[in-house]
Amino acid sequence: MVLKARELSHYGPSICVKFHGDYVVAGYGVFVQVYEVLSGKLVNQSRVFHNNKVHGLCVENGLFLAYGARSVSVVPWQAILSSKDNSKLEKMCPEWVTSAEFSFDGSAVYLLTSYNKVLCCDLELEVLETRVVYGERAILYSGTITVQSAEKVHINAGTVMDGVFIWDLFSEKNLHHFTGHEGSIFYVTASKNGRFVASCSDDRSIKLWDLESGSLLSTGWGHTARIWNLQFFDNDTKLISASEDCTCRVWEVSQLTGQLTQTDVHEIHLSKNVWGLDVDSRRMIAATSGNDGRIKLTDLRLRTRAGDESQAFSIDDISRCRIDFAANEIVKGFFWLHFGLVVLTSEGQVLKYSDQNSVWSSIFQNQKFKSFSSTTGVQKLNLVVFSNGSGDVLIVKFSQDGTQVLNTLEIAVTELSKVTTCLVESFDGELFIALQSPNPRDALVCVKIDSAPLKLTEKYHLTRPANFNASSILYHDNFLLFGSKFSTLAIFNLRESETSAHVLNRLLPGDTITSVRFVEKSSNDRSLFSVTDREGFYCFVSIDLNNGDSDIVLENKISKGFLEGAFYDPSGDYITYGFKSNYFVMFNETRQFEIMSELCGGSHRQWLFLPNYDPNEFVFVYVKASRINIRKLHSSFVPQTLRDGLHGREIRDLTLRPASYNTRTHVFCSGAEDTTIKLNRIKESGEARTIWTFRKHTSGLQRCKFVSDQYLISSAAREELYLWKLCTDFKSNPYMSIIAVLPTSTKLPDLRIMDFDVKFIENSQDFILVTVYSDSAIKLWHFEHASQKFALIAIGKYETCCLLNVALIPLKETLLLLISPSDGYLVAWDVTKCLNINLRNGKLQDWKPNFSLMPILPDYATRVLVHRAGVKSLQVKSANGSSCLIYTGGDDNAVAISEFAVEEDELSIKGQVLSSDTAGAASTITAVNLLNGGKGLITASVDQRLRYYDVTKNQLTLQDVFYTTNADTGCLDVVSTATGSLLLIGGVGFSAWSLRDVKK
Amino acid sequence: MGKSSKDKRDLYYRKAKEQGFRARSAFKLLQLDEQFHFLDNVTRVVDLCAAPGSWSQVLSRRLFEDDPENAASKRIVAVDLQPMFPIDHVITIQADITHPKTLNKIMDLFEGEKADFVCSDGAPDVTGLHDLDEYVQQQLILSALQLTTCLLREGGVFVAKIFRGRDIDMLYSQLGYLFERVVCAKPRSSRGTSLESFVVCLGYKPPTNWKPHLDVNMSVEDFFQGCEIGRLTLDDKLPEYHEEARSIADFILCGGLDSFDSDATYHDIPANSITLDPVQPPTNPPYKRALELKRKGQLTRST
Repeated sequence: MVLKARELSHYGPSICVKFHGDYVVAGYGVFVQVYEVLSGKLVNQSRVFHNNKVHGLCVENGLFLAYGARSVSVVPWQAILSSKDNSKLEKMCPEWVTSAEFSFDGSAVYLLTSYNKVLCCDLELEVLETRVVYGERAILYSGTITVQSAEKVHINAGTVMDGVFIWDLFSEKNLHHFTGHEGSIFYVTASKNGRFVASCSDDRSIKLWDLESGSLLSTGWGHTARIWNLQFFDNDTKLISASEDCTCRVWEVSQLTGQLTQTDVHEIHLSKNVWGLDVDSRRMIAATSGNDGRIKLTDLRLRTRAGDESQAFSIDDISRCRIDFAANEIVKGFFWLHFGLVVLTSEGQVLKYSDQNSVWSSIFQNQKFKSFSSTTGVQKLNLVVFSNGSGDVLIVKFSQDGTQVLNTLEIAVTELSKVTTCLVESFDGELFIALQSPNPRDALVCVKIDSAPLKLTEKYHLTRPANFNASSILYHDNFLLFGSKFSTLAIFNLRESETSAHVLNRLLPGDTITSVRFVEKSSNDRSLFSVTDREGFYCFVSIDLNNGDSDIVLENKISKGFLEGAFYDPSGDYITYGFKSNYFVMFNETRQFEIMSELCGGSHRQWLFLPNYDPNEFVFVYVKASRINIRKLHSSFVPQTLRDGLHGREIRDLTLRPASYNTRTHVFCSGAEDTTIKLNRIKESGEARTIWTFRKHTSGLQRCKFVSDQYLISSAAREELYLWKLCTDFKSNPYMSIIAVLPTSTKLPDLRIMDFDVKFIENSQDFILVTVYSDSAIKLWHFEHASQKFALIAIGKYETCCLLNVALIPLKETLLLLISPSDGYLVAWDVTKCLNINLRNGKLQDWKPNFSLMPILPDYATRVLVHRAGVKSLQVKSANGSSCLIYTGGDDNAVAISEFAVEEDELSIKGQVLSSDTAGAASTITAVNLLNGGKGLITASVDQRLRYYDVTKNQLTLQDVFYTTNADTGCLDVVSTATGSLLLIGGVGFSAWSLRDVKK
Repeated sequence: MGKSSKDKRDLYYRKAKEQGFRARSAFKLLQLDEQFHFLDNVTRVVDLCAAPGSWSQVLSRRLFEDDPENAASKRIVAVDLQPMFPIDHVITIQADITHPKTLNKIMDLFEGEKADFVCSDGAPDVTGLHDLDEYVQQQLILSALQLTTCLLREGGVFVAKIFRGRDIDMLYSQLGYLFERVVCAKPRSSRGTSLESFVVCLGYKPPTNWKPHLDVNMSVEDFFQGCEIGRLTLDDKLPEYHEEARSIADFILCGGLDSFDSDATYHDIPANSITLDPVQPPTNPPYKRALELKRKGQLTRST
């Protein structure tokens, strides 16, 4: 049998991206991906290099030129569009290729190397001549080649230590040496018109130079981290920059003075590093690619493309439409209907603005709504609702085009002394208006109104729970749900409106609930709601509406700012909106990018955010500086991402849920250096998609592991360890939430929990957990499912070093605790007696902690020196009842199989190394995993190789070596599929592989 | 991380301050020497990419304080592009290690005699592009190596910092052509979580028919032409992709198992201990101005 391994997909750093006609061409690992710009469709993925990443590319005259590291290739463009593998054309350059371009007539190729040397080659990459500035040796971090004409080619060279050199290819003379930057030059480029050179360096500034005189024209400050790329666009009148700070910024280039002025900032990528950047000046869209593996399109005319995106009106502007205003009359409220805006003023005047013909008109005036008024409405029913402090409610229904008022209804609710809140909901042509007074003893008065014709049909007096102040409303299936202050949710059954509400207290950590939305109903009759609070938290709560029984299946926090609401969009992405300092921001929480932002001045002003016509069109209305501002977001004319990545930083651990999620679909979690944990879905075809990004850990993520189909544990620095519960009851998505947190040893914990293991108690959801720490501590815990709490049951210590891995191994009647410290040993304890536990045939019997004194682990039973440095990864296989096999990979490049056994007398434990490969990799082996029911072992190492061993005879027999594009290869996990195994590899990026045993 | 929490998290950081070393990396050289004894009975040593100077400090202590005999004939030369604060018994040169003039200066100081030992603890700033970072590091090692081949005596020792990444086995293979033994050594003071290691090259044995010659117009590739070290030869036609020679060097952990673990958290800091200031304050970074602007709130999102 041989193992057939095939890479299914790769999500990782993309270093270059370029527009070519109606295509976007991106380097993606060893591949080139070609997308259709308008549809976002992947036209082809073609392998161009064997091992090296594509760092740059150009397409001209039907030829495609790619370079990366020491590789370079010229491929017919048609072959890139149609062939999956063009790597046979790859050529090797003796030096790192910094940049490459076709010559002016396309008959030659220029390769700029990191030694500031240009190899002039023919199209077969035969070197015709080498050009260099004699006597001037520089090492380059960056460089570009400007081909102006057949006679004029400039080399823009960015050095490591010595600023920027601009030299002429043919005269081999330096034209300029710019030394104004501090530190290494990370990018340098020239404008097409030959007037400017732009450069950026480790000093985080952009400098614009006059190519003719060599003088510095201006310096642009703005980026808060290193800048990696610069491109002139729009006839050299603008410059765009991309940075480690995850933004790209647009700069106006003054043609007169060469002054750089920052005009726009786009937040485009996940944590750290945007590498690739290009602009389609005709369509005015930017393409960026980064370390997160995302290829993003950004509309540079998001605010001006249709022309109606931003409008603003002062009272003076409106009065020009022959509308009279009293002195000091101001806007008090507004609502957006499909025809445009309806406004209520401080004089009770109702105005409408027709969006179609841009005309304001006054509809009527009602003195009752002069003061303490509120304005809301229902878009679907084309009506607005005004209310005042005395309980008067006025409903105005418009014709579809807004030209006519079809109907009005005025109601007086006299039961309330004063009305301060009016909330409106609708369902199926019925309107619900809830009025609330500041007196907590007053009922919440709710009227039900038939919308055609407007007619009051029912009135409810709902008893307010204690500490309740409604801030949001939802009607669902004869229930009214109110979100309130103190993060409380009250559920009223309208069929039995006299009975008191089911109250869910402290649903979220924040205060005011800003939105409640229905998501779906499960097969077991539980309803799922999405709830947001202003402090930035959101949750999904599963509720049995009939008895109020509830379960939070997901709780999370947005990265920054205040949250005013969230919803699933038609494609299933979860969209949030709210305020971030002075901005209103709409964010795609599923795919983690900003959709739009508006500098509105912050959350304390009057504002309104609603859909506009289409489910992908939105309008944000706000008052700023006494003007009504209408900001529209049209549906994007190009896809916002061409490819979604995963983490922007190194993935530290990956874990696949043992059971599949759907047919040929699995879920897995990834934890990364960016401290987030992501819950992702992956098809057996390799297509992966992130569903949730959790920001719970604060630093140094170490491990995440599914310990059963339902539970996951993650650990990090600061003694953080969370127990998560996965919920797969709903169709929309899998959900996950923390159900227990491990207690820390001090108030300011500074230890890392390096690893943990779990052993469930037979026929129970309780389990024993062991944790190992960076200060050599070992702790054992009991998790009680009923109370959802961890109790410390034993403590121990091994020498003074960092403990890297741990396993709990039941052997017959013995529970073995095995650790691997940074000293290369495997160390074993028998913890059966110390914990006073019972095992039968390796199964942990019913047990509860019952000690008067906290047990301390005795001296270890035995230890075996397996590695010459820290053991990075450890896997356990039970051999027979009384012994187990331990597979380890180490920092010493070695992989080993050891055996630990309980002796017949059950009194002693013996360990020995069975097999070891001391040259198991060229560098650290970071992960080992068993395959095929323990017949095979796969290892991953930092030399970017996967090695497959046959271990059937407890000997390591190397079968095969595979290359992986993921640098800093750090973790892997495997799950069985119908056809073999699905293997996930994490590092900088992530790959999925299919592994299959085939007959020779 | 504050000074005191760094003390706890990183014992070597604290020890370096206590013992007056400019950086914790001093212990790496000490532990390497403990394993290989390459600093016993040496007379002329060169420290490349030496700033801030903690390896030179170790060399000074080992050559002069531990073994005061023959002090008059001993020489330590430290080279860096950055200026360095003076160290007893160390001659510092601010120069480019790839320049022939630097070689001449060192040979003058050695009065024409060759060096017994050359080391380099240099590393470039990381960009985050792993392949580029690894390439630049290997170029730095090869730059150090080309100077080394010009001034190291046969049988001498070369030690350099490496990052064990994708192509490290190619470097091992190349060094294997010039030295009798090449070992990958990891001192316990180097973090287990870091890819950092040190290549210890013992017994310099250059090919008999090859004379190293530094020239300002030659790249590292040019320099090693004619010296069969398995590198690409410069040809008119760029060769097709092929696997290059690789070999895995022996791995040795140095510093012994009883020495401190750089990944462990230590609690044995007396409660009343004073947190020491670093011996060498941080240097001015190139982005100092950007930091100032950020502090003043001038690098904001608003335009």
